[in-house]
Amino acid sequence: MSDVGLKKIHDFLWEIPANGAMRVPARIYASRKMLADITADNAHRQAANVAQLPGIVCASLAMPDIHWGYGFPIGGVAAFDIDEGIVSPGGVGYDINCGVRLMASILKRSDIENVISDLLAALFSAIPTGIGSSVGMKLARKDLESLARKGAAWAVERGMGTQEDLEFLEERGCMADAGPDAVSDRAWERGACQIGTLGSGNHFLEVGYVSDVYDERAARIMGLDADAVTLTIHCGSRGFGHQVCDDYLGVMDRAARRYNIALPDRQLACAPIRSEEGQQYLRAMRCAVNYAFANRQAIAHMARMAFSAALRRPPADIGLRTVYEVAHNIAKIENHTVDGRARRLCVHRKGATRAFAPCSGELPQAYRSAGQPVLIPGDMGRYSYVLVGTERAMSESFGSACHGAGRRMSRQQALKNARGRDIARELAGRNVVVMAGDRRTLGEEMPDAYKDVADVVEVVVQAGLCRPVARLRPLGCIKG
Amino acid sequence: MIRGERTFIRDLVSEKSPRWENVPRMSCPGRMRLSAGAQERLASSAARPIADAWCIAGRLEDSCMDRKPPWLELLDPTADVGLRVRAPALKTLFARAAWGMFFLLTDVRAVRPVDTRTVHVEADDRAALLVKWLSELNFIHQVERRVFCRFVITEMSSRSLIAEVSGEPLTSATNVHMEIKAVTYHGLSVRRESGIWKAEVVFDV
Repeated sequence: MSDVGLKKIHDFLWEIPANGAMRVPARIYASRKMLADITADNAHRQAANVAQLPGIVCASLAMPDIHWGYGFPIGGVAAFDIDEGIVSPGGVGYDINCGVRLMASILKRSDIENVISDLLAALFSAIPTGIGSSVGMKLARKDLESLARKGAAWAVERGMGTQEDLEFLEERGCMADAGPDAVSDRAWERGACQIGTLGSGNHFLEVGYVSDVYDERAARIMGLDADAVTLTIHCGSRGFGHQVCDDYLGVMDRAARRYNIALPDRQLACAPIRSEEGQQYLRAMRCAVNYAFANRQAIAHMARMAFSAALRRPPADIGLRTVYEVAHNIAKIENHTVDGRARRLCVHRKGATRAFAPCSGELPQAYRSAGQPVLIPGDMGRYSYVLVGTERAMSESFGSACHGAGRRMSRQQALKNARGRDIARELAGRNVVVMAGDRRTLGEEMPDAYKDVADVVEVVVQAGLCRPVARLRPLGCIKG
Repeated sequence: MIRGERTFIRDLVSEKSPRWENVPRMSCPGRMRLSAGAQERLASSAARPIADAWCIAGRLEDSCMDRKPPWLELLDPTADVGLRVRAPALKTLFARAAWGMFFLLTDVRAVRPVDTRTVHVEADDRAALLVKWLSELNFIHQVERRVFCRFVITEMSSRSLIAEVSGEPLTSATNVHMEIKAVTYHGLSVRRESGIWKAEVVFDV
């Protein structure tokens, strides 16, 4: 055992055995070389804190992109018994249903290489990005409530996309049992003019191509042929979700005291799943989940229009279709087999992606033989990965895997590092055209600020949670 | 936003069937420093250049982090950002914390105090009051799309605060550097040490 209390299970899995108030062990998927960063950040302690919460099942898990978060670590997966367990807004995060959609076209890399800057400009013009970005109009409350119940289907009903899109979204783009009555007026106000906007921070739109295929059969099923042009959308529920989280952190703080839940960190505030507060949070959270689904659907549609506008071809000649969409900040009631027994659990994934194995009834029919696509974006200069979930993920990690590269530098360190450099030009030299609303954003989000996503992916693949399908390389990126 | 873009998006949201032909035709300006070939193509095309405010090419030299006042320090959690503020009096401390937040959000020194409004917040204790106060300003900033530069606390107790805040609406010329998702309770403190008031607060961005 090392001095930070981590016991090696195998080369890519480490454990803090249950001790003190921990009800279960904490297990961290990582390579030895990643452990120094993880422990320096104290993220492993946060995983151990989560292991103290009532009703937690098996273990508090952390993926290799784990880093420090508010209460729960980012990259954390925790499943709670539906009768005895808790639900916590901190286990989902502020950006509820932040997620990734991957789209693939019938175009090849050579079709767009010469027009990539025009294409980026069209995307930048069609899709509002950045701070407080807004479509310049306000949705009425009744439209917003309808959107919060219907999710991506709301956008499709308005001509933004097709029924086929919905088939390829996690939850088919809509979580049932959303409760608009559980959402505050403030959240409605923050959400009123942000539908169809990308947001800021690490959110992005990326045009890329399939550079490597590792699993021909799975790639063919997903339509990811070598050199095919792709579009990746990374964003979430905008101010609407941020406000829902903020509102319920206060509610849960009081609830935890009321239900006598001992918390090692106040930001783990939670309530029993079966309690009034727990149910209200889940109903409000699902509204935000659906908001994010609708948001990405609207953005996907505008992206199709922008591709057509830039290439002067109708959408059918571009064939930009949804490969899959994953949510990586979410809490869901799922069925899992634990120690040979079927259990109904509330699985929190905060900076973690669902990674269901082949044959799961939750998957689109077309993917049941391949497994669920797991979309892992990297930084804007290198590459991203498409993986699929495995049986091992089902038995070990509640069908979950990592979600991205994870930051290496703080935002200020990155800015300091970027001073005097022309990041847009550096990336142009690597054949990646970038656009952003603000030069500073580009400095904060430069490739060096992130870890190499290949290291993260290697861990989940070596640990058997996922199998690699393809690698994508960027041609152009828009940062929010 | 340029004309055309706004119409296009409004059509999308208002259930009119949007047409790809309506997406405004634009291209990157030459300043993007693309390859010579790309530059040539752009020069010969009739494409409209993107507004300069959107152009991000160029060296990152003045990150405005250099010009912060002596009473303001920036905290540096890996994925987020925070403030440490000092002041001789509690009212000043809260005013400075608000200024610090807008220093992070925008070029606060360029914001003009065009109009003034009253803000009133209440909370269970002094630290929570700081979170409420900053959250309220962030809420107004996001929902009403305004930025503020002047904060005068007119009345204050440990549980409530009334302030006059001045600023102006966001325009296409306003530089907004980041979006604050929430003002958090992590590492939150408001305390007095050796006669000096100090506050620390972290934002989720």
